[in-house]
Amino acid sequence: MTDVGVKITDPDRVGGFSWERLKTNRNWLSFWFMLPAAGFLILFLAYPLGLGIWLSFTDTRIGRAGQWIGLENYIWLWDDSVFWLSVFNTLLYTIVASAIKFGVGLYLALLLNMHMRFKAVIRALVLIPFIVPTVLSAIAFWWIFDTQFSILTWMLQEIGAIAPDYQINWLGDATLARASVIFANIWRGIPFIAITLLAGLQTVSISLYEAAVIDGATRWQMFRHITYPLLTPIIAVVMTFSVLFTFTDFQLIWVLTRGGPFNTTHLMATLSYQRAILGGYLGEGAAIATAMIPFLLAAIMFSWFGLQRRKWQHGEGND
Amino acid sequence: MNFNRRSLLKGTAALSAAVIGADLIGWAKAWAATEMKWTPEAGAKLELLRWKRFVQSEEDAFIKLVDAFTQATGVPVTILNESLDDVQPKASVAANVGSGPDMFWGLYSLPHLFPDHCMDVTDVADYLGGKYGGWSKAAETYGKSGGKWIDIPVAYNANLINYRQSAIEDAGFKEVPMDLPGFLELTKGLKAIGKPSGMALGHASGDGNAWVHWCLWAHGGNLVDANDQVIINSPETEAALVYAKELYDNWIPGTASWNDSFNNKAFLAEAVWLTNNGVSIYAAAKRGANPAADADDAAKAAAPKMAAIAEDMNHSVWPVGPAGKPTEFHICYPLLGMKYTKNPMAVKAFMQFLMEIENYGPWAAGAVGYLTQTLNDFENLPFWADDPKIAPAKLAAERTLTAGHLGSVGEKAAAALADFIILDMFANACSGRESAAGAMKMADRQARRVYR
Repeated sequence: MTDVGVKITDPDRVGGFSWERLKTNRNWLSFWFMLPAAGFLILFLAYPLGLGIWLSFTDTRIGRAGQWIGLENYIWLWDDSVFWLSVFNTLLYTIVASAIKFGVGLYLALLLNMHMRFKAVIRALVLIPFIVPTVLSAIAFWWIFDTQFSILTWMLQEIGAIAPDYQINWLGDATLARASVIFANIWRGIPFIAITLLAGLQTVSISLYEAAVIDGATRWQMFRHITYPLLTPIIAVVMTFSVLFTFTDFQLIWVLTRGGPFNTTHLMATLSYQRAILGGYLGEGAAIATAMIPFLLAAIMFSWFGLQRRKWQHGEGND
Repeated sequence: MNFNRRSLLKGTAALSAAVIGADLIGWAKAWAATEMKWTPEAGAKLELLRWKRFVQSEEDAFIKLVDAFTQATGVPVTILNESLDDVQPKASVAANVGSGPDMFWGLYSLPHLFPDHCMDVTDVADYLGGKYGGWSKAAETYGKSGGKWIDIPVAYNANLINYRQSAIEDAGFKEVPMDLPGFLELTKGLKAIGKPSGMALGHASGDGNAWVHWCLWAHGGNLVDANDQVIINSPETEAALVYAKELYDNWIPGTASWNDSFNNKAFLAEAVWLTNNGVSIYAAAKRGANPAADADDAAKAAAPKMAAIAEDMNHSVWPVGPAGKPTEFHICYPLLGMKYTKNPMAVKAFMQFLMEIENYGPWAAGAVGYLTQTLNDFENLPFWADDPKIAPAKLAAERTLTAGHLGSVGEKAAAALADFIILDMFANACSGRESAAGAMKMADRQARRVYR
């Protein structure tokens, strides 16, 4: 029996433009739904980024507007040894810290994946260094690495590893200062990697391990051929984030060393702040900050293209 | 520089409280009726952003002073406190944005970073200078830009050599030598007896800048000449760097990581026996010697040691070098009003009120030597005689040079300070990372960029 009382409009069967059609058009609707979020992102991310890049092509100072000067800031920075030192520091800091965080984080994830008592409590405790506000843990490390009052120095003196009045210049010697800030960063960053990798490990099916045991695989072989390939997509994501956060780190360095001693722990972010806000050279500071973009893009591209490969998505052997 | 300790000096606070007391408000009301030169706008409200106090009694006196102003004129003043290093960025942002606190009380050449945004206060400065014997020369340099006054230089903070009398006597000296070779001998002697000295070589904007600029200028070196041409690469600078390295080799290790509060910690812990600082270490020691009744056991246990340090320590001005005259570098604290303020008359009235001797006297007394006068007549304020140990701070006004020294005290000098060009040059040379020639070259290049 046909129902003549209700007129059903099928948008796809009505030709041409009509409000009815538009109202149910998915693209149209999705545009409006996305608008608030997009507006937020544009206002707080895209606009400052664009403004920063534009500022880097001007000679703006704090307190007065600037004029367009093209690449002059970049040309100057090209010859500035402190800038290149900060680039070197940033790369060193990021590479060393990320590599160690990955290694230790993965190992920690594997350990946490095993069944043990108070599993949930231990996992929560492991997360604490990441949750504590960076500034607070930085201040604590500031005291731990103080030349005169370091508890590490005291411990080493007590056990006789060093002479009783020998002070270790944790934050005053270039190499030690770099090692100290890298250590602080590693301490803070491991939980993030560990917990994320742990989540990935949980998705690996137990039956694969059981089959491997039956086939007589060693633990290393199980890791190499089951765990690691299946974890690769997660690793790609978490390491991208980790590298991005580490590269742009500011708080830890600023509290511990302010970029010293002799600019040997200055990262690009801290140097940019010092030049732009403290020194008043907004244009030059913006140029330093903008100079970070190629490196960050390279990290993202590496991860993005890597994820496109099916081998990464679905594990080795699935090209 | 003392960021973290609160100094409550019971003795002097009582004195200043007695002077201030109820008298101040009565006087202030009379002042508003007869002496005030700029009438605040109706319904005016003021916001002042200042650096967070290092001496508690100074802050107490300041709050009383501000309160008296409000009672006398009906203008409420909100005081915002920021850490010393944060005042400049906040002021810069406010200038850029065009809104924020009406007044900023900052350091060095802050107003010169954005002179066009600062109120013209020539009339206030002329009135105060005329009434109180004129401004000290350095204060005038800090205050003026392009022929008019853009800020009121309220006070200096004298950065002095803090030393332990018993230590220098053990090293064979009765007082700190006033010549450079003698000072080096003292430093070596202190190291030899196991009571070394140390001064900040990290990015310490107060203490670090103070001693490296003194060392550079004492040897006749300069960053720029009178025309803002960079002249840092010179034999005089090299001599300064060689001297500094000799000092550094006899210091306690770790100074390259010191920011402004490390030397305070180290001195009070008797890890160093000579350093440079304002009088805040002394103030902290005196306060630690008299802990409050509800202080914790550690504080009470440390009280005798603090008392001993306060008793034993003293302050000294800096030695004079081949330059032939004092070449010290003391922080100047300028008070500026922003052009965007809706209440310029109220701002000027406040500036005048702050600098009147009836206010300035008790307030400086509350600061117990932390603040040194910029107006010449204030040299004879009575509180200086109360404690001979703080007397050297009184001389800061005459002995100081300005940021930029021979060159302009403007945004270039401010930028050079903020980028630690001189400080890093000394740090590189002292630690041996660079030779003196190499350190000079780097500083030269950086300076040329700033002064182009």
